[in-house]
Amino acid sequence: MVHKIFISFFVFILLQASTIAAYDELQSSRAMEIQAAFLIKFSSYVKWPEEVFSDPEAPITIAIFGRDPFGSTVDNIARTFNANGRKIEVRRFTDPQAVRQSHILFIPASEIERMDEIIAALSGRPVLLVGNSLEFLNHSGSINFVMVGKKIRFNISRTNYQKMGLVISSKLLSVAHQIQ
Amino acid sequence: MTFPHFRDLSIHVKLTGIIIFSCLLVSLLASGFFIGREIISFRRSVIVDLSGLAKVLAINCTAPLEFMDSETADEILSSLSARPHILQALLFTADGEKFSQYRKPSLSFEETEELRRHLKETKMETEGETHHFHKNHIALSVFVGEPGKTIGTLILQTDQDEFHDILTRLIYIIGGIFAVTLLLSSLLSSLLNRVVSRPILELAETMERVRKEKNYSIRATENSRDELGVLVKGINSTLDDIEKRDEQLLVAKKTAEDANMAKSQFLAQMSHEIRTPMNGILGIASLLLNTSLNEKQFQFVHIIRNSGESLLNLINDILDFSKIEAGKLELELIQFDLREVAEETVALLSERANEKDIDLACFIHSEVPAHFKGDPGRLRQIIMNLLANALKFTNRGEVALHVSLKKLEGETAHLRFEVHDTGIGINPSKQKEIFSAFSQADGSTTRQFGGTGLGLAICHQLVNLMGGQIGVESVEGQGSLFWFTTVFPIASLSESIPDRQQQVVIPLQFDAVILVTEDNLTNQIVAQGLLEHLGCRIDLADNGRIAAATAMKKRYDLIFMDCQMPIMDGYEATRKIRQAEQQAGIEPTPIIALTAHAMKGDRERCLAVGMNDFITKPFNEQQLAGILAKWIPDTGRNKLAEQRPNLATEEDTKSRLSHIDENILDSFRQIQQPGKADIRKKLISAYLPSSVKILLELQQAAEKNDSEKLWQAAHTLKSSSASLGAHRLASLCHELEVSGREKRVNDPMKRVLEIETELKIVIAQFEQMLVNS
Repeated sequence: MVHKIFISFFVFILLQASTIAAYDELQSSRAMEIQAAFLIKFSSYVKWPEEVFSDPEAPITIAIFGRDPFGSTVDNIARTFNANGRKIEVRRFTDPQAVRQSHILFIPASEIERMDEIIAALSGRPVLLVGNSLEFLNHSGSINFVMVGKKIRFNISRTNYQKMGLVISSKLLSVAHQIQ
Repeated sequence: MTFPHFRDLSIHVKLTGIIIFSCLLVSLLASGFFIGREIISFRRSVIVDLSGLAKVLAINCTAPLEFMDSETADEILSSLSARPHILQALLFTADGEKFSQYRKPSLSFEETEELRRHLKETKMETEGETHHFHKNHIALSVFVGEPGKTIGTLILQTDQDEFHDILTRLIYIIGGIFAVTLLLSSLLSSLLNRVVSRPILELAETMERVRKEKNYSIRATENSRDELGVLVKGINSTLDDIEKRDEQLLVAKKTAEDANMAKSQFLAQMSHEIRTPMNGILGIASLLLNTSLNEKQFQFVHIIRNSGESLLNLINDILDFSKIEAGKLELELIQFDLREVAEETVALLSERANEKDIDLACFIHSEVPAHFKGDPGRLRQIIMNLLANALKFTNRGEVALHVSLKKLEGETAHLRFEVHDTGIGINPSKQKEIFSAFSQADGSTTRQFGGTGLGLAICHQLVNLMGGQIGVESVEGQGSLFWFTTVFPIASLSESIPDRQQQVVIPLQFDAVILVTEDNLTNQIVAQGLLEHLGCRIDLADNGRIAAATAMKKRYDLIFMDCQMPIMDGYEATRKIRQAEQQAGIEPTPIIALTAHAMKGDRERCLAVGMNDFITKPFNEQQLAGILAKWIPDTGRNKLAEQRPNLATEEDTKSRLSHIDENILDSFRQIQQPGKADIRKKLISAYLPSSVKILLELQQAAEKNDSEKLWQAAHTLKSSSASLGAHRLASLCHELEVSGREKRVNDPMKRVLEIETELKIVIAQFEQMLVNS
């Protein structure tokens, strides 16, 4: 019995360690480039309520909160991107109150402490919250990047994005690593 | 192997061929169109299907591709396993890197390799969609993403098994269609055959039958009212016309034949009718010549006989011509001596030549064989005609017959006869016509020179019958050359040649009992007179019945039987006599037909009823003597001056001899030197004064009853007369000589008077000859 518990513990420890290691790799600059591309591509698979756009051609605003881990990569990709006829506008916020103006909000792992503050600031605004922290989906996030093997994948919390009033295409759901 | 040309095939075969061919062609075209359409539409549907599938897959693969989720992509593509025709599916990123792949699990290595090879040829589509058909599969390439935002390419490769299955099925269907077409078109053609080709075939058969059987009463059956019906109707009405015309022609032919028959019968009848009185004229004239006549009377009777003979020749010419025209003339095929025929003919005309002082000569080339087989009588007739013509139209110079050998072909000789004259000649424009009937050089010729105008026409026909040709070369005023060619088989020497000598010696006296059956009184008298002259005893019968009855009661040495008589004709009488003889078991009496018919069938008919020979009226003493010598030779007595106890018979004997035997005179011609004066003239000129001188001596001796002088003078006159052919005179002198030597001359004055009378006749005839020549 003790032995079994030991093994279980050992496995847990191992898993934890690998998870931590994976999250470290997730923050690497190469990984961030892919996440930037994925982040922008998400805009094609998400449906916002009509009222969040002032007109049919109004751009989708993708915002990066706090310290920017992407750099200019995001801007480069976004410049040519077109999501169902809308252009992409990349903005960077540090003030939680400002995030209400975004449609997709990326919250880097470094800013995970300010999640409650952001949720509060959004107060029901339909914004897709994307992050790459271990506990992101437990903090009301909708899509969280993960490392699966050498590949960057993402998990989706259906409860969370539905709570936000968003619809996500089944196509996106079909390529998600896990759906909670 | 050679096939008949299409146009020579039967209509039935043609129609069937055309129908089957066109039906098959139509069904082939239709099937081809159908298959083509089917293939195209099938391919289109396959592409549409495949394209739809590819698009769905492309859409489904968008997110995996965008988010580089190859597992999901693999999962999506693996769903293709539900489509057994999809062999392989490949998903490429926009960079051309293979992102995901599906491959049908059961693919063999070869198939995989083939797919890989074909993949290189497949366009990596980035905007639309393309497809490629390969031998065994189809490749479809479609872009993944949205227009203007290509994120990858999806390639599907599908097999063509379904297409091949469909193709096989289509081939079976077309095979079925072909079979059905064949069946239906055969049925159709047999139906058409009944409607179209069978009537044509029937029509053709009918016409063939008409043609073969020459039966124009056959009709084609009319089954329809279409063009064929019209054709059948037309042919039938043509056949009607032909049949009707045939009937008319038959009637016309019958009429013409009847008319021709009537003409022939008329000719035969006329010939008979003319010959009967001619027999009387000639017979009585010759009987009359045998009686004591004064000079004038003798000349008149002579003229009567000569005219009669000319008339008979004319009749014979006309009869010959009509026989030739009717095709009834047939040539004999007997052996003869050509030289004899030629020389005889020339001899016969020598008198006439002498009369006109024309040299008549005969040259037969030494190469010409002596004996041939053929018809010497007809050959003589041709030569005679040509020579007589030449003499007729020549007034001075000469006439010559040349015979040469043209060619020798085995046992057959081609001879050429030429008659040259130095006469008036013939205008070239008339030369062709002269061999046609009734055509002398011009109408005036007939009037000037006489003749029927049939002579050359008869020659022409006879030469044709002998397989030769006849022609003329002439320069007007310089003379003519008539030539003809003949073909005769050469007679082999082994075959016996009748001895002319035997024929010539005919006993002049017969001790025979003869029955003459003749209804015509004149002919009775002629026959009786001539036969009695020949020493025969005669019984007469007026018709066949009397003849038969008489012949049964009394035995005759010979019976002359006229063929046409009232009450019972000669044929019937002959049958009766032969029957009676057979019953009695006695030797049959020779029966000789006397007929005026010169037609060929008469002879056969006479022989058929049992007659032995026949003699054509008018006949002369010579002919009768020939018959008697032939059939009752035992009764002949050939001693010219045989002593007779009966004076009356002696008288008869004397009067029976002809005055001058021209044959003897003609024989001098053989020792005639060409270019010298006529030897006969010389002889006659010498004979005339000397005979008159001897007659004076005889008269003086008779007055003095000087037997010695009488027989010497008689002997001298006998020799000179006999050598000139005055046999009767010679006979009288001979009798006187014999009785004079024995000094038992009975009434010398009467004997000398007889000699004087005969001498006058002979002198008259000789003088006539001199004048004529």
